Amino acid sequence: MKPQRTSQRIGQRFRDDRGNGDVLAMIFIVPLAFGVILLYSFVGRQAASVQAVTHAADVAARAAALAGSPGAGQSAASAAATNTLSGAGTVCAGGPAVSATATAWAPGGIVTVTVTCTIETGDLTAIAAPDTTKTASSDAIIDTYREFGP
Amino acid sequence: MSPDRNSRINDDRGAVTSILLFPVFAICALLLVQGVFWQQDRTVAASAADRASAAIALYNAAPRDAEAEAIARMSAAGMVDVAVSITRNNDVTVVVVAGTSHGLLPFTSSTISARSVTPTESFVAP
Repeated sequence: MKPQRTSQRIGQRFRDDRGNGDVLAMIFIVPLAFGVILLYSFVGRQAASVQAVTHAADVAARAAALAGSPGAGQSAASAAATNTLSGAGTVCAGGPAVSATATAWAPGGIVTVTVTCTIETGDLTAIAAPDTTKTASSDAIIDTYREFGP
Repeated sequence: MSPDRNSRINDDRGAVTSILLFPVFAICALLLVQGVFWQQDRTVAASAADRASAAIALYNAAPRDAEAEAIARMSAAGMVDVAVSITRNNDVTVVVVAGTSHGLLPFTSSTISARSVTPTESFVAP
């Protein structure tokens, strides 16, 4: 066999494709890594929001149960839920929606408060994160032995 | 062995895959697992703060007892250097908890904190 000339060997070194996989891997891996980080942020925010909305519903139900009328109960529940959510750093698009209902607005009645919060994901558009809505309900009983009335 | 084949074996193109990328993949995998632990610790911290603030604001629990309970819950989850700050006034009760979560990799320990606000319940004269 004739020995190859130097120019032929150099040409083969440039033509073979070993090492190209590394470049391709980096092209895919870097965006994928950023995507995973954003996905993590999205999932973490959902978990934290569930916790915050649940706590807000508990607090709002208690506040509504202490109010003396449907109107006052609704106002107290809204204020309590809004303050609690903002205090925990949970941002709801358009503010939280709060509804307070009761079996009877009288001692012994059970107040049910539902808090709905649409979690903002405007800063996660790179992974097309959808807005998600978290809802939590909580009950509280209106104390039997209490002064009740306007 | 032909000169061509010899040169292909001796050159080092492609070696970066095994030398550089494998450790990177391993570190990324460990960071993902650590992220799960970190998220779990955040949930525990938020829960501890919520329970403490509700106990104080709604049920008139002693701040010292609520603080001890929050520390116990966070310590049970594996966090260290747990600190609890409680502020109570006539309007709201604010509880801030913080703790250090150990990392799987060196120098990756992180501080976890959570804040909970609960309107303070008090006697209202009719």
